[in-house]
Amino acid sequence: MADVPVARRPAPTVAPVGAADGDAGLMAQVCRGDEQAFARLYDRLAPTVVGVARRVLRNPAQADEVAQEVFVELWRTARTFDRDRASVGAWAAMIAHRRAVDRVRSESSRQRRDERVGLLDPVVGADPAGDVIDDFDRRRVGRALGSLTELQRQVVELAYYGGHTHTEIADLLDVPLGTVKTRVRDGLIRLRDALGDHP
Amino acid sequence: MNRPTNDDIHDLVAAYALDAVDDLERVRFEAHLARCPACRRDLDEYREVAGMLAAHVAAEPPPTLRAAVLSEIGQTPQARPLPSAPSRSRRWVTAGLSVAAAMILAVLAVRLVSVGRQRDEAMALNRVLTAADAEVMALHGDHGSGRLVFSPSVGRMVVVLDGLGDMPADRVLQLWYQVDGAMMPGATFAPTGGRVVAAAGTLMPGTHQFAVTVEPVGGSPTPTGDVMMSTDRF
Ligand SMILES: [Zn+2]
Repeated sequence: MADVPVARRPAPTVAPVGAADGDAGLMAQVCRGDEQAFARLYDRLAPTVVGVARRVLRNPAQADEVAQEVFVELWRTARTFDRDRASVGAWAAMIAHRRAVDRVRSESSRQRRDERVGLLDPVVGADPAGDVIDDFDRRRVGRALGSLTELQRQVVELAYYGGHTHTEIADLLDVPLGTVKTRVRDGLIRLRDALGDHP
Repeated sequence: MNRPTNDDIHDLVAAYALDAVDDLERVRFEAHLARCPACRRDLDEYREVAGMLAAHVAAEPPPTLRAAVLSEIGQTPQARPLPSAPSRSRRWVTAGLSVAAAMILAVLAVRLVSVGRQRDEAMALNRVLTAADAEVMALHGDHGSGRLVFSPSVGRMVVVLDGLGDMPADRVLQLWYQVDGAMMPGATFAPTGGRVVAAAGTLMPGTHQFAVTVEPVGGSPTPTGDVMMSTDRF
């Protein structure tokens, strides 16, 4: 089984992605140009980076291309990583998600995207990662998503997993943009609290 | 204090954390983020949540990816400080007190000028980024990425660059206009924390591409450094 990208034990306050201390130590070595340390970091982060790229792009070949670009960017910009600001896992996820979203938006006509994006498929209870992700953590995130209201969950999933802008989401769900903005924010606050306080 | 437009921009933090903003909103929010500690703090927290959402859909990586990545990084230099001029500290030490006093006056003078300039620049930034006719162009390259925003009605451009390595104090980034095969010099920028958000002059007629290079402080009449990133031809 691949090394798991998610902490097996709940972290004390804000739950980071990945065993934060180990990742931070590896990052310090990577910043000194240590390619072996980067290989170990790859093993920890690859399931998350590949997973988020596939989820947003819905095209494994493109997603794997993006994942490769992401890792080269992580290597190249390692020295700009600020460990006081983010966990290594969240940083990698941010770069992966941003690249996947940029790719999907630049390449696609709206039509093709709408065909591809299984619009309101709930992620709660899905089993997208096989045995790659720790069951405990999957249940934890699943529970947190399940604690959202229906609309909060829809906007968060359409935004993050669907790669849609809040304006597109307002169109898709036929609700005012202001409502989408509020639900995205409330949804994230609730997820943060659920993931942080009750691991 | 009433700040209606700023309240709107604070509201973008959650959508921005999920990359659920369009190009123009992204640039506007990043300009705001550079000077709003409250949004900075919220963003850091929301990004940890986004990281959990990413881990939630983790997937088995393809077996060939690892070797491909490791082979490519073996040939990819990490962003590092560029070579800088030798330190002049020794000369300063021997130069004595009068020079030190003159330096302090010079620093104060520069600071006064730059306060005024920053205010002008912040206003220009806001006008461009909130203009109804603002257009966004992406900059790509191996050494960072960015966006140029141009508003025909304001007649100004804004540049936002990200993911830049450290820069030595004697180097700046310079914008170039590709016009009929010639590179025309544009504004220069000093990144802070790997980022640039700055007003960048206007759009030169006949421009069909933009590029960014590293140049000595003050800029160059023709490019001397490698192209860090560029737009597509248009
Ligand atoms: Zn703010």
